[in-house]
Amino acid sequence: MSAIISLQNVGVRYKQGGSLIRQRRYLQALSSVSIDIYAGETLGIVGANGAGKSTLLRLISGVIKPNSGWIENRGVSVSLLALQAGFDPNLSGRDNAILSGMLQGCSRKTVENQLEDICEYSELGDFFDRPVRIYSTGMRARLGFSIATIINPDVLLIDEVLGVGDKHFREKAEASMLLKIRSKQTVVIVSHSMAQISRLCDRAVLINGGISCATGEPSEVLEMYDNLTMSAQ
Amino acid sequence: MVVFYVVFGLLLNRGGDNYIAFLLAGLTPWNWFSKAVSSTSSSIIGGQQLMMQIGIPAIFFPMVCILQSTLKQIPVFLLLFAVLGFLGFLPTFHWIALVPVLAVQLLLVILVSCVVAALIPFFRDLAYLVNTGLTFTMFLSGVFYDFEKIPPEWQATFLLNPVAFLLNCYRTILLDGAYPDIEHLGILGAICGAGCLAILILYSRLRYIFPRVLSE
Repeated sequence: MSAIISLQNVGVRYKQGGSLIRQRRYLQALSSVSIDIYAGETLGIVGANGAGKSTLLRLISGVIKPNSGWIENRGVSVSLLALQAGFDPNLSGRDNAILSGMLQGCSRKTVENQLEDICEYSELGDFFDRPVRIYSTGMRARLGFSIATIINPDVLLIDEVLGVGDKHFREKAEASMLLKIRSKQTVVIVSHSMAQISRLCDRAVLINGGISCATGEPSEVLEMYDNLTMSAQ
Repeated sequence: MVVFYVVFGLLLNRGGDNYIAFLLAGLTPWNWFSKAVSSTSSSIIGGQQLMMQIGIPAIFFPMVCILQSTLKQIPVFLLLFAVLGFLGFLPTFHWIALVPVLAVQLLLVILVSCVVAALIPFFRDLAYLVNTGLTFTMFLSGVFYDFEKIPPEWQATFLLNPVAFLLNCYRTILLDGAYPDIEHLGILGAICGAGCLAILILYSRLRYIFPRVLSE
């Protein structure tokens, strides 16, 4: 099986400060990451805060380009599960669903056909036709996740978003994510929840100090991550 | 508008005849320019969240703002024509020249707005200077005074300012019922058109730079 997205020794550095009088400094977010993503798999990415996981997702989704190394996308569509992307607080939940769905690559028709499903899934009831600015945080998150359930890119990137809403909704969200993962959807998931990674993923990658230092079975990688955090303490 | 009328028209008595018509014919296109530039200036920074989540080209953000302010200006222009008619400036055949003038102004609005919007992510403090710059431009563009009242040796230089030139075009057409300087208009249009093309290229070059600069 060949990889649909390959990263080879990818490095990303961000400029920090620097002006006419101060010398420019760089923050090396990633120094050398090599990952292959295969069709149909679920890949988990673990690492401490600030290890560069979100930067890695931005690279894979094509929002930024690396400073060094190369990244090859063999013709697949990638999208970051972007909850509440482009929400306009003055529009109704329904209009925001259309807007956000279209921003994430669905055609207007596709979204409109599934509006009732989104409405039902989000459990917003009458609030669905009222402006988003009066929603509670949880309601907003629920709407965001409901929209995300209809998008179907070749590769779906998920950044710590499964903890949405109350217990009941969280279970529902995880169940539908599981459904997506079990189908042939390729998923890359970033999470701090060890349980989630070992439950959902076929493979895991550990990012530490900007380097992809372990790739393989989730249980093995998670054990390494555990040891690493232990020794750091 | 009322302030200008009171200060220049009544108090200083600098307006001359038909000062209201003169002021309106300048203020309407000026407002289009200034509102578009000031609302667009921070559009890319405002789109940071979205750009991080979705690989969306940065040019999208200023274009949305320009479109919004341009659409908002359409009823204002219609109102201007109505008021001018009421004041006795009825449409003449020369008004056809409004089409190229409006087109050149649209190009100028796109050019200036997109340049400002592209600079601000790199030099954030510029955002504070946008409104100062607009006020400065307003004073230099003859929004509320007639450029023929400045010393003759400065008039040609004055009209090199594209905003001043365009405002003068509107007044020539709407108030004097004459054609504007078509050659000058054509050159300005060509420069703005070329500038817009350059902006498109610049934005596609900066496509992957913007998300980085915004997160640094």
